Amino acid sequence: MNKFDEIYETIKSESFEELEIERKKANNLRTIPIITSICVSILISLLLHSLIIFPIFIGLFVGFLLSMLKTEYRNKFKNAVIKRFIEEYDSNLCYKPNSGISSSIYDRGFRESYDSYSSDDLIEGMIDNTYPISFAEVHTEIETEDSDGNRSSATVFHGAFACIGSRHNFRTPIMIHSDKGFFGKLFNKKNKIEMDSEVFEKYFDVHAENGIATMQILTSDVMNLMIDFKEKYKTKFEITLNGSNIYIRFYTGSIFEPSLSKKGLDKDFLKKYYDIINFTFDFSKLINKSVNEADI
Amino acid sequence: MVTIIVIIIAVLLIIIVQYNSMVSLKKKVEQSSSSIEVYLKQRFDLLPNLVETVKAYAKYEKETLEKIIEMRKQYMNNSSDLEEGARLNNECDKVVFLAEKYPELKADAQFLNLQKNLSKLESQLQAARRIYNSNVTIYNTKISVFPNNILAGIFGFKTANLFNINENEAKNINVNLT
Repeated sequence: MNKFDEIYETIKSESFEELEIERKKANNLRTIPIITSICVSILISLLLHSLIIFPIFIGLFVGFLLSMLKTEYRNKFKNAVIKRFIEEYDSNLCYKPNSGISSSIYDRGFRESYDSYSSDDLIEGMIDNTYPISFAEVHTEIETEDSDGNRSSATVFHGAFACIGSRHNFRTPIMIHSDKGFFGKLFNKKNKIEMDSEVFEKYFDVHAENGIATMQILTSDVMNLMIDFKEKYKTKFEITLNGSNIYIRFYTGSIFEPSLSKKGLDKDFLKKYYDIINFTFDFSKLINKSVNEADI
Repeated sequence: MVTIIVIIIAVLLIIIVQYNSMVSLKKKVEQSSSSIEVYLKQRFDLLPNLVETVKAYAKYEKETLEKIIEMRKQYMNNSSDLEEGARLNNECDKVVFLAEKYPELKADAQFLNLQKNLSKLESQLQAARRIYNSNVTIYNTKISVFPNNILAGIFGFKTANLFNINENEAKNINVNLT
């Protein structure tokens, strides 16, 4: 039995009956307001001859009720399942669903312009009792304006973000981003490092000022770990080594968000996060190992 | 007539773009080759001290050590030869591995310091080698594919050789002490 199965079985054996009742209740209740609102809307529209304001009002009210139901279940789920899951993964880790990582830390890893920043689902702790780690969901948005002056928000990044400490100080950043294709490469040739792995080059672009240090850090083991994760999970992810930290972000969208229609201990749901956290740990350990071995 | 002119201009443009691309890749190969030379020279600069330290403990190796010093002298006089550099680099590793046979040498502070510096330079050399080989592979592919191979022939672009240190060989050397 591998580590994930052990964690899953441990959590499964614990009593989550109350949570499951809560989920079923929320799931059943959400159909009642929807049906009621549809019925009331049709009735009002027929009686008042297409007065559209009432159905809209009722729709908004139902939406509000639904989000209340979901938030309540979501909080209970995170505090029960995710908290236990993280504790079982590594007892050095602590999960705080309502806390996040500050934007200043995020900016040190990934410099890009955005107008709004939010973060929650924070996991904090130490890797091997040596390197501090912060892992959280991050959502950045930029405001756009069309030719008519209508403003709208567009997501810049939404997913999991991790910041891990390193004993080494990366004086100039090493950026490992997803391959930007032919044109992306054509216009972004500055400090591009050609890696000696064809498969790695297919998936990633590496930019750094110090090519030698980059090659010393990105050993074949590191590159293989990244390739394996990319090929297995197809998740887009990017890495920056800057200052005394390793920054990783995964384009996963919301993390740890339960679905009302799925049971609380959905194995695939937990496996996805297990693999992401596991990769973050393995990658950080490997980078720190290669930095120490190369004595950079 | 216009069509012919357009075709000629298009062909000329392709030639110019491809030629510049080949020149740029060749430059990259040359630059990365220089990096290797720098690290090789830094490593070989440590050789006289290393040999002197080893000599004190491994007297029977005098001949081998003198041969290495002679090789170093030759390399320094005819630098830029990567193959020669790779050979001397392997000899350099052999000297370090002598410590396995001489416990007193293994414990010598100066030897340990030299060994540490040599390993650090070896790691940088390996990184430089990977950059060089990566650039060589891209360059060689570029000048080998059609129609670049025709242009490469006309403008005298020749394939570059990969730089092989043979890590495994370097790390598993059995020094003959007899």
